[in-house]
Amino acid sequence: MLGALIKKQMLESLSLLTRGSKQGKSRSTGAIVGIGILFLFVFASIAFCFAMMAFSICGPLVSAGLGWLYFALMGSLATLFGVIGSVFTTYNALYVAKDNELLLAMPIPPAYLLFSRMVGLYLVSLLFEAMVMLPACVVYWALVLPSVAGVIFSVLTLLVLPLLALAISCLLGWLLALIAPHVKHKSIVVALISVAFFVLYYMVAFRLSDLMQSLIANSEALGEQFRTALFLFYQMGMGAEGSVLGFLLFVLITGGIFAIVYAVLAFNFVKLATNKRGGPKSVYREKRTKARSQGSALLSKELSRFWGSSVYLLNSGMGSLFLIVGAVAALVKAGWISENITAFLVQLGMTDMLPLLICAVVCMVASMNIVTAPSVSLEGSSIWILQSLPVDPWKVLRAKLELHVLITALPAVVCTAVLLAVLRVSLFDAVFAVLAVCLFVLFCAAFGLVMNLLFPNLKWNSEAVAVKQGMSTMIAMFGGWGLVLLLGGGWFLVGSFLTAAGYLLLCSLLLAAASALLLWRLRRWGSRRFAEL
Amino acid sequence: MLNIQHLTKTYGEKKAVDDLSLHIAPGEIYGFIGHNGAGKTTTIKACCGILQFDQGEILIDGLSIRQKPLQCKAKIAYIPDNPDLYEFMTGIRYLNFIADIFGVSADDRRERIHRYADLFELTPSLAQSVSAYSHGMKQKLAIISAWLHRPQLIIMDEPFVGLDPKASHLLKEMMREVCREGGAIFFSTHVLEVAEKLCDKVAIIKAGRLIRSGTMEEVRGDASLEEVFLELEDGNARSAD
Repeated sequence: MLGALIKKQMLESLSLLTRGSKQGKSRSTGAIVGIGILFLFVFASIAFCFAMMAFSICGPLVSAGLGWLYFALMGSLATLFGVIGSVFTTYNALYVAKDNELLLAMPIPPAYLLFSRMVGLYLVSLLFEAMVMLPACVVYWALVLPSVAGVIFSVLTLLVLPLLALAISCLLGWLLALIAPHVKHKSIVVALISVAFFVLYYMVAFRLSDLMQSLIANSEALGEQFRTALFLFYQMGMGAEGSVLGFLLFVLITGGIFAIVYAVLAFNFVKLATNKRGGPKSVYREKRTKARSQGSALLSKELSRFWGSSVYLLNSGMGSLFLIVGAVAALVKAGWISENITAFLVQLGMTDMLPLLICAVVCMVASMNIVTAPSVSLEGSSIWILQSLPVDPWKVLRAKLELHVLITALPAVVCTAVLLAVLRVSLFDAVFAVLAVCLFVLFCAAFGLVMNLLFPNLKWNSEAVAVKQGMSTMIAMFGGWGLVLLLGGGWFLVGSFLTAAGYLLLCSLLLAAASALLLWRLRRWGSRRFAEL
Repeated sequence: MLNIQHLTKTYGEKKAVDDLSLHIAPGEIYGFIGHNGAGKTTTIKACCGILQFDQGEILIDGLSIRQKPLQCKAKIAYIPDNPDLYEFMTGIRYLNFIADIFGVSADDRRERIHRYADLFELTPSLAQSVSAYSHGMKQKLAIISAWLHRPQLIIMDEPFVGLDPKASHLLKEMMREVCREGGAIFFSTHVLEVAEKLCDKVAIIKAGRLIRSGTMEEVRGDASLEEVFLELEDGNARSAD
């Protein structure tokens, strides 16, 4: 029975790779290979970044006889990365899965169901942790001749460590499930908690380089502190260096933590999984409502969905938050930014590309917003509503585009304007920079929507699948970044013939033409496609 | 009101609906019965403009659903077999959304929401999120939303599933009221007793083909609708053998 449940969970997870569209038809071999290559590319890119970091600290720590500290540091980083990667999925996957009630009605012990769901989440944690620990191990093995026991224990550590991240994220998901029925604006609360996590993560990430340097300089003293404060990671590090006792202690403690969390979750899994969703009971009081136009009603519907789903809000709107934080930070640290960035560009002899640089940074962050890319998939099984109503499909698509632009363009323009002012860019250049940013946002909105119409997934058990695991979201995000790099790279080809304002105008013209083409496609092909989904 | 002419819809190599023709006149309640997978939902979805079809024509009040989909959809209301509504909205927000799309004035919508929500005893729950609704409550909300814009034709797929006896009774009354006012109802059901008591006309479909249609008296003769339905099913099965 447990095997069948795990198999079902695996099939559900793999369906992203093997199945697509509304009918759930199998993908062609070529498409599966293409998606696989894309996944590998993303995995390898992130793993490469961690490999660089591992390379910078491995040598000095091993020379100081603190090889265990190297593993312990990378292990704690991997755990943090694993928690960040899986925490947003956990609550939805465990407690909000659509087939919970169906499966609970079958003669399946709830603990089995919980376990099978956790296996799926374990794989997510494993994926995230492997991005850190795999390069960490490879770098260590390349620099130090490891013992056989060390290699075996390191590989086993790779498999055991995700249990820790899984236990933490499951505990957070459980806490959320406990409070969710008593909270009115659940998605906002979830978003706030998640943002707190992101802040923690970025604080660590931004200070990582300084921390590493200080660690290498004071490795012995810090190592001693680390040994007592984070006993588990100390034992993990010892195990990865070949200590049998260290490895066994690490496995026992990690397994124990996981077992306790599993027992806690299993205790009231049925109650939490079958809790009626929708927040505390509200009493209806008749209010005077105003009739709205179709366009306004559709946009309002899209906004409701956006603010009503923590998964959608967090995964598709994070760029806006970063843009606002960036604008505020630029105002607060205006002097420092102006001095250092100007000095840096003067040193490189590239002061003329300042407006371009601002534009590229803002566009890079703005392309983290992938509001349109899962918007069609999110219609899910309720797509019949829009298809049966007397509303032009183009109006439906336009509302999705408007939501993206509304959420992204304003913070992007504000952030651009602040950076331009702080760095004292001329008004003439500034106008072109703002224009390019606006057109980039429009292009990303249209591109994401086209991708989602090409790769819709209307059959999902959890919104997280539509938002996070969609082919369209991945292509939209990396496509946005790729475009920024492409346009940025173009400057080095034509920069000698054009001023920054001229190049920004050229980019704006290209983006305007591409956006117009995509919008034209959406209006004709996209409308037909949406009606036929 | 609804004129289906030689409708054919194929999925891959399977003909889900094969050369089906029906005419539903104003003032009629038309029942559509058949076994699971007979082609009822496919036909209904094609009539609502949700599903593209391969051959034939569907006219709603004389307008082709293919050529004038928006004008046709403005005249109809559709209730699917499984009311998957927007779970991120409250009940009242959903009703206002539907009213906005159909251009129902603020006064009209207030009066109709008040009336139907009270009838279905849903008023206290209108401020609740749809995600907290039971299946029956969602079905009631779908029914209220269908009646909001006073459609000329209401197309329903298994509308009584999930409704309590009182709500079922109310729905039947509302269906009769629509017809008295010159509208028409086309609905599928597996509950033959309901079809027998409620419908003016009935059509029986099997494997995508219409096997009998007409007034209730014409279709059932002296027997019950259930006996006729089972006989037709068996008879077709035997002739297939």
